[in-house]
Amino acid sequence: MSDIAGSNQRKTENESELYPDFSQNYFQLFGLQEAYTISADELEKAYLTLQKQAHPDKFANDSRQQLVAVQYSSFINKAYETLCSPLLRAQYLLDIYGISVDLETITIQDHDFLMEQMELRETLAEIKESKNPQQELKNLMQSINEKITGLQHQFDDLWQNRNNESLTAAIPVLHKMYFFYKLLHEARIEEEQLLKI
Amino acid sequence: MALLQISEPGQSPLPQQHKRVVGIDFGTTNSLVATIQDDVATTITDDRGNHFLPSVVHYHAETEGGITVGSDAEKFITTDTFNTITSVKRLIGRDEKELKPLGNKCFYRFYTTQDGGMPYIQTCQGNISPVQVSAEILRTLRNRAETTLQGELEGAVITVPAYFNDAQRQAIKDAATLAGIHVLRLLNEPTAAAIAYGLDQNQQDQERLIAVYDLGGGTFDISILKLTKGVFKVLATGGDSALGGDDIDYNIARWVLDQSDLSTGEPDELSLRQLSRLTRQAKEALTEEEVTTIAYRGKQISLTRKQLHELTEPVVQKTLTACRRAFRDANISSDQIDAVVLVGGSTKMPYIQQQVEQLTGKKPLTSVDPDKVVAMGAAQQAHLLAGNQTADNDILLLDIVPLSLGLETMGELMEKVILRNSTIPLIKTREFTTGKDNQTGMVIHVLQGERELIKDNRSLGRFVLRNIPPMPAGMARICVTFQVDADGLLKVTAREKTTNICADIEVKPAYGLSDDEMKQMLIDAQVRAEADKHNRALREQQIEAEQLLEMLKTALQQDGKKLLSDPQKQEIEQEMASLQMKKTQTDSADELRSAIKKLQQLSEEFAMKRMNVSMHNMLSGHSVDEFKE
Ligand SMILES: Nc1ncnc2c1ncn2[C@@H]1O[C@H](COP(=O)(O)OP(=O)(O)OP(=O)(O)O)[C@@H](O)[C@H]1O
Ligand SMILES: [Mg+2]
Repeated sequence: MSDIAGSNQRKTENESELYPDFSQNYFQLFGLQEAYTISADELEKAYLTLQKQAHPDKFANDSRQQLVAVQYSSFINKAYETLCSPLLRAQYLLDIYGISVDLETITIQDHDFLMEQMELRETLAEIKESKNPQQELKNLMQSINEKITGLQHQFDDLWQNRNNESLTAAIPVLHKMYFFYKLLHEARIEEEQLLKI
Repeated sequence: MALLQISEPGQSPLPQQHKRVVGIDFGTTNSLVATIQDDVATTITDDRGNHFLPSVVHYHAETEGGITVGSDAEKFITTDTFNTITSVKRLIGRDEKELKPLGNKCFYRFYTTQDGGMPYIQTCQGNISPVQVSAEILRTLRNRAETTLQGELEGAVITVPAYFNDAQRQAIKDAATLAGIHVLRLLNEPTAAAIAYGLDQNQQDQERLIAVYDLGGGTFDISILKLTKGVFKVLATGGDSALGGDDIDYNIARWVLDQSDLSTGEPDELSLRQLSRLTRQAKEALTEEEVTTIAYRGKQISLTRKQLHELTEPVVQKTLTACRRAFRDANISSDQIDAVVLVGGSTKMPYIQQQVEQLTGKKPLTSVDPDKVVAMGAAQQAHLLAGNQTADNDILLLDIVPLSLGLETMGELMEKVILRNSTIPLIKTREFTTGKDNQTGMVIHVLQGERELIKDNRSLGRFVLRNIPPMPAGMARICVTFQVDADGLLKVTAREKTTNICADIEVKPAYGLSDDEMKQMLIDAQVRAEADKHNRALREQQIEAEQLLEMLKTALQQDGKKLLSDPQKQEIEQEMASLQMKKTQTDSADELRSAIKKLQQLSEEFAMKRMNVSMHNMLSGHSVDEFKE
């Protein structure tokens, strides 16, 4: 293996050449520790550094490179979007461990949880008719947010243990999180209607 | 000391090291073109010194194919209304359904094909697409730039309202193609404004949140950006691509008709259009004055600021609602904003400035001319993209899609694939399957908008994926990929994955012109481009001739008698007269070029003599030794 030149195929003289590695997982891409709790600042910093190199605007004069740049820059955007969201980040971490969770189609068997969801949805539906809808809605959203925070802690604990059992247990936690995020989204729509925006 | 300078004809006096690129602000009311000169963004004027090109295109009835663009076209607005297109930006990329809400605010007669294609404007020169009208304006700007920069343009950054949908963006890009402009990039107007202000640069290197409030003639945009050194990241955008000063003019016009008892039921479009020219002047006057009068059909109607505020209020309220929504989308409250930038002529109105200040609690920035700031930012970006700038001045623009993109699914519902305010470029894939056994085709209907029902969103195109291999229902795996590039333009591809037979197709969402139509337009444009090129070459020679004549005239006055015999002098003068004549009469650049050459050759000896004399004058009184080194 004396042929050093052969292994050095990257053109070092042209630093603007892009060689994206799409096989990296999102944590590797941003040089972050694989974990549920991450630093938003670090993520943002790494994200901007990468985009500064990969954005298609940097290759306006080279249409071939620009095509690569669109792909790479999109990959970075998608990775950033995924890691920014506590829900998608959780889903992605399970995915790395070969557990792919389809949030749209699973049914939850936890009876108490489902009862709670129904009640919350009823509350949301009736808020318009309440005495102080804006305040009520605010309270509701706050309690949803608290639930979500609780679920995030649960997920983090299970993730840190990372054995078969705990990862399997993390799946319903993820589903519950999803339910609450959806509810929060609906509450926001309701709020927009109340605020007339 | 005026030496006779003789330069090769056609050779530009300054060597052009940079690529010739410009920024273009294609506006509803006014359009501009700017470039970087000596590191400063400057707008390019026409030969009369005007920075703005009124976005008005007149199609002449008498002269076949005669088209006038800009201020010369303006005078036809009232006399030949239907053949004089104004505010075409409000029409571009809109389908029939989307034109309806504009009601009699858009005053043209439209022609739409049976198959629900894009509306054309009926003129004396036939049915003209808004894309073509826009191309006329862009072509005029291109010619203006090429004359000033003395050569062919290598590219342009063209700005679009941030809130423009894909069809509108695509239509603008096509208009540029028709005008023979290579589009380096479409850039959102508010982002361009933020670049021009250089707001990413501040002493503390802090992160800053800014809002750009852009109310022009026909569009409203609000964008929230997060800036750090060299990075412009758009967080959220909102607006209305048919809301602006035009609407205020229209409200005043309605009011005038009510006041003057001239209204007889629904006012006719013609009088409204003519009247709104007057009310626009009145509105602009009230930016300075407290009260003004509108003279209409023999009546004098006085308009006060207070009344104007009332008539402006509905427009302002709409903009403020969009602002609140954008703040919300960006997950910030209005008091977190560090600075507000005002863009667009309508933000000169004191009432609007005051309302924006009230909303944000910040005195808005207006230090860069709100009319020019967009074109200037676009020029800066063009400069950068062309590689005319050093890497350390580099900036990163992270823009977003203003409206969600998605697909039609069961129940006439829209399923979103890319959500509004997602950072671009972005590629997303969705997987679908077949609903019937042995299904070999699938309709893919691409939409843009926020509503649930497909009928409430903008349909961008519908295409069929064919040749799906026959298999049981639910087995096929059809991947539909949405790709939005940095311009904000969408490309959709679909492919069946389980088999090796992959039917790949690509749609450029329909903005209405068929490929054939576009081809024909391009051919026409080619012809026009040839004419433009010819005209420019001619103009260059005319300038050349003028300069030569001017120089010779001065030189003859100063040294003619001294250095030339009478016949020699006469000969030159004769040739000068002949060039003078040629200059005004010929329309052949080549002919003029040879006439210039002839005169240059004839006067060469005279030039040499003058040179010698001046050398002699310079050297006299000095010893040669002084110049040895
Ligand atoms: N002094 C002024 N006071 C009030 N309004 C003004 C003043 N000057 C210009 N305007 C209004 O500003 C509008 C034109 O603004 P501008 O040139 O920024 O628009 P545009 O760029 O052509 O349109 P858009 O950006 O919407 O496509 C017109 O409605 C005009 O009446
Ligand atoms: Mg504008």
